[in-house]
Amino acid sequence: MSDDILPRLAGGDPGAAEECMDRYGALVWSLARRHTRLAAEAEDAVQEVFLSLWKNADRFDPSKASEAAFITMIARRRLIDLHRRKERRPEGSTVESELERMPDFKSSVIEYRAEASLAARALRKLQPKEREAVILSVYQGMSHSEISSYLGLPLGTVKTHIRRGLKRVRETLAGDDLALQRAAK
Amino acid sequence: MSGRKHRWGEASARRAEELLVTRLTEGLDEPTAHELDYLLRDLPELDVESFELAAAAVELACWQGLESESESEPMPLVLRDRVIAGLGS
Repeated sequence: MSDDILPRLAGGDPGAAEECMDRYGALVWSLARRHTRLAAEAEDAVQEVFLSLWKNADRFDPSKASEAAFITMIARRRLIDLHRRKERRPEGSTVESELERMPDFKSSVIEYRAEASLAARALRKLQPKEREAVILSVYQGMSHSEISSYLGLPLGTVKTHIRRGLKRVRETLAGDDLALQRAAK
Repeated sequence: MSGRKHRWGEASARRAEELLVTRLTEGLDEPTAHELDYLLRDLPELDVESFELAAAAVELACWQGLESESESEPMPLVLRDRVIAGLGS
């Protein structure tokens, strides 16, 4: 039986809101902190993200993605809308450290880890510059121009790297692996 | 003639993908967003959401790595309570 919260949220379950916050609050907070400069901005962004989630909960389709991936997608949309024109710079961690941190997920038991695991595997198969461009763009929130300067690559090359990299991740997610992992649950 | 049409189709699909990736990584200005909407009308086979889910999966992969090292910062409790209160109103 599924323990997804969003269908219950869409159905008006009074306890689902708190459960959703407890399960995904840290994820959304982490996203908001990386996509905003100030803590106060992140707090406002989190409120908007959860409001958007409430409104879109009935669109969640577990056959297409895990709940965590759906929530991350909605959060990213909202955060990019909110801060599109603001310059963002990465703080602290480097691309290399992000790659080292990616776990192997060999003993994953939670469904959303399957998507993360497949994404990590797809990223590892990319050319180093492609992988760096995708992580700098998607995870660290750098603009394509910033990545171009940071990596010393032409802007067009950066755009191509990101597009190809995301296509590779997309193809991996669409493959049999995820379906098999879901069926095995 | 059909070859030219095919090449145009490939070029517009490629342009749509480029704009799609830009939208989901840094956003689009209004004219470019309109351009993407226009291109997507002729490309019903392009699965827009699958690109967004790919980016979400990359995000989760990196975040999971952070969480496994216990560097993930919990959401402030005050904010949690404020969000729940706001959703109820």
